[in-house]
Formats: sequence, C-alpha cells, structure tokens
Amino acid sequence: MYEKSLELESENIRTLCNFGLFCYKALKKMDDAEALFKRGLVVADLIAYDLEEAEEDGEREEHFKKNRVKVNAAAGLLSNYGNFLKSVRGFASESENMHIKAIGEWKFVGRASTSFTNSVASPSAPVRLEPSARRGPR
Amino acid sequence: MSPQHAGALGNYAKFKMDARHDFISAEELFQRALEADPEHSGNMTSYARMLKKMGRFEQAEGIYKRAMEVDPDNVIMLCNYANFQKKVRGDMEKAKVRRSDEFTATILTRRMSRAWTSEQDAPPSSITKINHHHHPNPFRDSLRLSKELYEMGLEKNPDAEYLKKNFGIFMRDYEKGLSRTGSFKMAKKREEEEARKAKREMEAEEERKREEEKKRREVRLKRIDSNSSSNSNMPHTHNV
Repeated sequence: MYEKSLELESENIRTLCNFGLFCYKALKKMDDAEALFKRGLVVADLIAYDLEEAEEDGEREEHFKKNRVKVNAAAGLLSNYGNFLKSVRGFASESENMHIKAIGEWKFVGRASTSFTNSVASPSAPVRLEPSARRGPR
Repeated sequence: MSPQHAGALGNYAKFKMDARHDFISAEELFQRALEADPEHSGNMTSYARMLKKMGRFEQAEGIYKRAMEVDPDNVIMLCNYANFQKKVRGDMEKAKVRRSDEFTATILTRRMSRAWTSEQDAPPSSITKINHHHHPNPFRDSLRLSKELYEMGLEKNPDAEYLKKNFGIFMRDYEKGLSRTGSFKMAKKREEEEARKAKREMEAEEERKREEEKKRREVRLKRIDSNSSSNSNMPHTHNV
C-alpha cells in the first residue's frame, strides 16, 4: 500500500514518514527506514526553505496557515527521524539537530557542523542555513 | 519548523530527559507540548514519568489521572501508571505499614480511593474493596490496583508486547510482594498444593496411557507371532 501510494505521489511527506516508521518499528528494516526518512528530509528541507522565504517576506504566519498540514507533517518526519537516529544509530547530536529543526528553533542553535555546546554559547548570533545544507542529507 | 507541533515537542522533551538528563529543559518542552495539545496522552505519560524520576510523585499522579480521563485506552500510559502504582505508591505505603501506623495507612487508602472517583469512570473494584477492609494494607492494595491497571490494558489491547512484557515482570514482583502477608502465604500454599495435585494427576494419567499402549502393543505382537507361525505350517504351493 505504501509503495503504491509513493508510486502515485513520490513526494508525499506523510507517506514517507509513515512508511519509514513502519519499516523501523514493524519490519525492523532499518536501512530501508533510513532511506525513506532521508527522502522525506529532502522534501522537508524544501518546505523549510519556502517557510523561510515567506518569513523574509513577512508572510510566515499566512504561509504557515496555508500549508499547515504539510509543515506539520514535515515536523513529524524530522522528529521521528531524530528518534530513529538516537535509538537505532546512536547519533545523539544528529538526533538533537533533527529535533531542534522539527520545533523550528534551528537557527538559534547552529548548524550541524558546529558543536552543540559552541552554538549554545553564542545564541545571539543566529546562524542561517546555507543553500547547500538546505538541499538534503549529507 | 513547527513550534506548535505537540508530537515533535514531546519527542524533543523525551530526548532531553533520556539522552541529556536535562530535566529543566525537558519540563519546559513538555509544558509547551501540553499547551499545544492538552489531550496528548503520550506526552502526558512521558511527562509523568519524568516527574516520577524527579520525585514529584503527587504531580506525576495528577498527570496520570488526567491522562486516564482523556485517553483510557492508551496501553503505554496504563502500563506506566501501573508501574508507578507499584513502585512509588507500593513502596511508600509499605514503609508506612512497616511503622505500624494503621491510622496513616487508613487515611492514605481513603485518599487513594477518593482520587479515583471521577464522573466518567467507576473506580476499579480493588479500590471499592479497600474501603471495606477491616485491617487496611495499602501496600497490598496498591499492588492490586497496579494489577488491575495492567489487566485493563491487556483487555483493551491483548497483543501489546510492551504491556505483556511489563505485566510479566510485574507478576513476578506481585507474587513476591503478596507472599509477605499471611493470608497470601496461605493462598500461595493452596495454589502450590493445587498445582502439585494437578501435576500428580497428569503424571498418573500419562502412566495409565503408557500402560494401555504397552498392553495393546503386546497383544498386537502376539497376534503377529501367531499369524506367522500358522503361515509357516502351511504347505508351499508352486505355480507351474
């Protein structure tokens, strides 16, 4: 069903998230789950990019209201991928970055390349994502 | 991305609690999550779990009760609440009873039963039983309440592995806990005696079956022997 659904709509973030969760929790196919989460991450980054653009234009709230379902689905995917990274891969910092992204506080903390402690030490200097980092997972 | 996403806030709070042990940030995040969705029983359960870790038992119990009202079918919540009842309330009441402070024990029992009475749900039967005890033993009662919570959870979702596993662990401790009180020692003895009797009966039944099978085999062998001997006495005929 999930596969059929993705054939019809390959960028549906909710399906990607649910299928990823299904692979992770039920089938225990961790690599497949990660591949799906990463595919979802690319879509989530595009949604985040649109949101940031709308913020620059001062239309964040309006944009958020219009795309509430999509944005919430993207937040859900990031959050679930964060859980996956911590519990399956043991990547605590990467997981934390995902959680921070999911709740929309990414820019106050820093990029994935900077350590968490350093970025917290200077919260007054918000770091914006570079276009290359927005595009997707490394 | 979405600062009002209750699930994401709750997940991050859980991360802060379990991975970073940063309870202050976790509490803040849990509160934000519950503001975003006051009926998210998963977040309530995790928050109550953290409050229990911090030793804020009253608050934890309050949150569990709210979760019970909002989503009584959440098996993970039921399981955690049952654990809470067993570990926290059970130990507390056990300590009180050890000091032979019957008066305090009675008050605590009443408080527990009052807290359970809500408009929607009738209190579990163990609670109603508690009020009629001549000699209350809240330790035993909190264990019974835990057991009932587990059973409620399993009734609602009999396939929940998480619940089954925890119930198994609980039952092991439950038997240990109950065996400390006299009446339960008797009950346990009776139970063991019955189990032994059933085992003896089963063994006797098996023995009887084995005997029957042996006799049948002997009869069959005798028949085969007699047949073969009668065949050997018959003259051989050759077809030409």
